[in-house]
Amino acid sequence: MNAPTILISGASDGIGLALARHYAATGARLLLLGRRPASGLGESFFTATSYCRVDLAQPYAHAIVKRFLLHQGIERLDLLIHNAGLGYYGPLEQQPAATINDMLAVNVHAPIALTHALLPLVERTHGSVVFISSIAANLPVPQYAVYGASKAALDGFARSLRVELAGRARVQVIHPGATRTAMHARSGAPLEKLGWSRFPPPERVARAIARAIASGRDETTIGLGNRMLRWAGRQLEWLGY
Amino acid sequence: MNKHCVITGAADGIGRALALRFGAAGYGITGVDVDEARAAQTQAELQRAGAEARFIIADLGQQAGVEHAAGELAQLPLIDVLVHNAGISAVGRFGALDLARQQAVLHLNLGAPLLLSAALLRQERMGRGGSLVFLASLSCFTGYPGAASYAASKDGLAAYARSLAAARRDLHVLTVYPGPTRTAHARRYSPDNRRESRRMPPEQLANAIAHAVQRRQRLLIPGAGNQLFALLGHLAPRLTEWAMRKTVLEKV
Ligand SMILES: NC(=O)c1ccc[n+]([C@@H]2O[C@H](COP(=O)([O-])OP(=O)(O)OC[C@H]3O[C@@H](n4cnc5c(N)ncnc54)[C@H](OP(=O)(O)O)[C@@H]3O)[C@@H](O)[C@H]2O)c1
Repeated sequence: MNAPTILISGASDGIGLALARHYAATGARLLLLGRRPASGLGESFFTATSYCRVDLAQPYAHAIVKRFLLHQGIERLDLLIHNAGLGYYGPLEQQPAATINDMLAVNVHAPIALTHALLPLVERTHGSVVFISSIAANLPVPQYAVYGASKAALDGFARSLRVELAGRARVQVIHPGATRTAMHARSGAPLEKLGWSRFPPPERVARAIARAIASGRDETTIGLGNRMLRWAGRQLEWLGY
Repeated sequence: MNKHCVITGAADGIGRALALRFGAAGYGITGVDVDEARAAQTQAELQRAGAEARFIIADLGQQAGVEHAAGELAQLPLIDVLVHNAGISAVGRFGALDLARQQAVLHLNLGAPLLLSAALLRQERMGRGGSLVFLASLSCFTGYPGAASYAASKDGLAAYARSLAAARRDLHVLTVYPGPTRTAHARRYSPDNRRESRRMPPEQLANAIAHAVQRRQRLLIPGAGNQLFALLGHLAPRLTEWAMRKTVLEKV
């Protein structure tokens, strides 16, 4: 059997980087997206034929990625993992329009556009489109209102797409909880108040994500505490809270 | 002084019905719409009915349009009721449906209310204890295969409303989950219009929304049939997805 071909967005840091390490060790053919220059990436699996540098906030990012795959002769994808994302912490009336737009562009528009561009490649292998969402999608998150909305949008998209693609490709959604990555500092969150240093490390979360993907399950929430939180969040939603 | 009600997409459909309903209840109405001709008609209609009415012409699907609307609203009285109603859809199989159209759906249905809410709250344009009303969709409970980007926009909108309600306890936030409504919008996007008479008339929906605002409800699923379908979607999501697949996806 051939090694699977796996595309991971946001592979240059955090959970995406941990996922890339995990799959590199299995011998998969990797295609990795990130925004930072390749020179800043230490791992040997970041090469000119694996790493596509692209700003996913740009409207034509999906076309750039598609062309990159074409150049590499990639015609099939077993896994398309939408992981790139950004957060913002703070009162919603203080969030500038530009960061609202960026967050919607990277967290919602980019995965939808990339899926649109690359779906035929995934269908060729009866592969899987994976969305890295967050438990924030199903909870009232006053300090992360737009972030939560962006992840809920992704969930809603995936749910409907799954029904459309039944029998042709899988659609899987993963809901991680808080993870010890640099995203929180970049979001402007108060790390100490959140207890950032006690969050599970991205390596552990990435292993759990890889297991969830391999299981073929439609939806997985990572960690028991997060499962309970998300369940409670969904019941409260029904009650209008 | 009259209370002030701002409604996006007020020139036609549910927005127009809302404008007439709130106008009749004594609110001064400011509509925001992209369709200048229809806006003029609805404005005249409101004025004939004795309501104070004005329209801001803006394309909320564009960032500049949102900024324009927010700028104009900053010159007007504080807002007692803000209804995020403007919305479009795109129906078809995701892979076959033009990406630009799906992006337009997300910009207008999700981007615009987030940007406009943030701008108006930043400028403190909401009156004390004012109401923000978000028109989500029954699809939030049932799924919407055949309109994946539309479903995304409405799920995102409902989640935003929920966080907003938690963030701003000084304001009232109502999320509405309408089912099929008898408007030109529905006719345009539905793959099958034979059972149009089963859709809820927009006047009935507007009435339910006005009552829910008055009672400061947090959630409104208008209509017993829709409530049942939503509950089914909550308890047995596969079942409603299957139903939507039969009624929408397999007909597009
Ligand atoms: N950390 C958590 O607690 C947590 C919890 C639940 C869900 N998640 C989700 O998990 C995913 C990964 O999060 P993380 O914590 O690993 O974040 P992270 O450490 O901040 O990494 C984010 C990744 O996304 C990429 N990215 C961001 N903006 C981009 C843009 N405009 N264009 C291209 N790439 C961009 C980054 O690339 P560059 O660095 O090269 O710019 C980086 O590789 C996100 O979707 C996040 O929402 C995280």
